[in-house]
Amino acid sequence: MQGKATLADHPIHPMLVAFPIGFFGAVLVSDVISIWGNPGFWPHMSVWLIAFGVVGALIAALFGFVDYFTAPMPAAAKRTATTHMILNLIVVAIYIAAFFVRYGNPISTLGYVLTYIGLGTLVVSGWYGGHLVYVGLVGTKPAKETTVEGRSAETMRAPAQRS
Amino acid sequence: MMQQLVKAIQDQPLADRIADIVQPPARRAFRQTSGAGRTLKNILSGTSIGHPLHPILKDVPVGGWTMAAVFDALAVVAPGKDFERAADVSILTGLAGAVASAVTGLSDWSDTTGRARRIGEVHAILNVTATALYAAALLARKDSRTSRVALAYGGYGIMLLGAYLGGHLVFAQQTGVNHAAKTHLPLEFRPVLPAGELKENEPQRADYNGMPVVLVRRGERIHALYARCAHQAGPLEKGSVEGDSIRCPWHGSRFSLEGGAVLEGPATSPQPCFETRVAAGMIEIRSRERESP
Repeated sequence: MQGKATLADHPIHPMLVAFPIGFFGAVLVSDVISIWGNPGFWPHMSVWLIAFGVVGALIAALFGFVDYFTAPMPAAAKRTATTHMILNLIVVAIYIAAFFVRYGNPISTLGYVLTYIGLGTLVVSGWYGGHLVYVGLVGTKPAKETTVEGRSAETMRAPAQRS
Repeated sequence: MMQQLVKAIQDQPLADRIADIVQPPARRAFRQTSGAGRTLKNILSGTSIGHPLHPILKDVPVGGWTMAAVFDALAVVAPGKDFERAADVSILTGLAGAVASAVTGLSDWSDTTGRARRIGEVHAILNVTATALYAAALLARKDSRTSRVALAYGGYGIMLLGAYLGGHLVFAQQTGVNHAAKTHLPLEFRPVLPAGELKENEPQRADYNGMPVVLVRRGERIHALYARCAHQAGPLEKGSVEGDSIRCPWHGSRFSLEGGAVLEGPATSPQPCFETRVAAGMIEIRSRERESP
C-alpha cells in the first residue's frame, strides 16, 4: 500500500512530518521560556518557528498529496486519509494566520489562541496519520508477497523461541 | 545505500547472539500477566490509546534535535547567546523524549523475532549512541562550544540512521502495525463448522472465505473472531479462553469474544469479530462490515 513518493523503499511523507511537528512543538517550548527568558528574543523566536513550521508542513504536504492520489487504499483508509489531509490544511491555515498576527505583535492574545488551536488540531491530525499506517497499513510494503490472508509467509511462522 | 545497510543487518548472526542475551530479561521485565505490570505494559505498548506509543514519543527527540541542528546553524549566522540557549533547550527536550522512547522501544522490541528483532537491536544501539552523544554535547557546552556543536551534529547523523531503521521496522517489517486488517469481508452467512464439533470453552480453527477464524462456544453463545492476532498474527485458536475473552499464545494479547476489542496488549488494534448462528446443524458466520475496524 505504498504511493509513488518513496525514498529507499520507505514513504517520504512520514519522514518529513517530523519537521512541522518539531517546529510547531518547539513554539510551545519557546512560548513557555518567553515567560522568564529574554523578552527581546523568545517571542520573536516563536514567530519564526511558526514560519519555518509552515514551510516544513507545505513540503510534507506535497509528498502527502502524491501518496493520497497514488497509494492504493481501501475505502475506510481513504476516508481517514481525507480527514487527515483536510485537518492538516486547516492546521496550515491557522498557523499562517497566527504568523501574521504574531508578526505584528508576538505576544498578542489572538496570536496565542491561534497558535494553540493549531497545535491541538495538529495532534488530532497526527493521530489520523498514525491511524493510516498502524491500523490501515498505508505506506507499508511487506518484505514478502502477501497471501490471501494479507500476511507474509515469514510472519505466519511461529517465532523461533518462546519464553 | 540504506537498503544495503538493512541487508547487512537483517540476517546478521551476531545480532542474534546479542539479542539472545538481552531479550529474555527484557521480556521478563515487560511481560507481566496481571496487576500494575500489566497496566504498565498496556500503556507502553499503546494499547490504552489504540496506536503504538513508541512512534508517537519519538517525535520529541527527532523534533527537538532537528530544532537544535537549526539553531546551531543560526547561531553561526547570527552569533549570540540566545540561539545557543535555544539549541541547548532543544537538546534537553530531546533527551527527555529519548528516555521515554527508549523504555517504550525496549518493551516493543522484547516481543520481536527474526529480522525485526535484529533490525530493532541495531536501531536501539544507534539511538542510544545518538542519545549519549547529545548528553555529552550538553555536558561540553560550558567548556567548548565547538565540541558541543560537533557532538550534536554527530548525534544527529547517527539519529537519522536509527530513524531509517525505525521506519523499516514499520514500513517493511510491519512491526506495530495492525495484522488483522481485513477488506472484502462477506456480508452473507456462510457455514464454517458442524455445530457438534465445537466444545465448550475450547477454541477451534475454521475456514471462512479462505481466511482463518477461531470459534469459541460459551454456553448458548458461539463467538467467532479472525484467528490471526492483530499484534503479530499469532494463532488465536491455540490461545486460552479466559472468561469472555481469548488470549493469544504468542505475546499474551487478550481480546473480547463479544466484539473483538483489545482488553490487554501488546496488540493495539481490535480483532475482526463475526456474527454467528446455527442452521441445519452447521455454524454459520458473517461479517457486519465490509472492512474490519
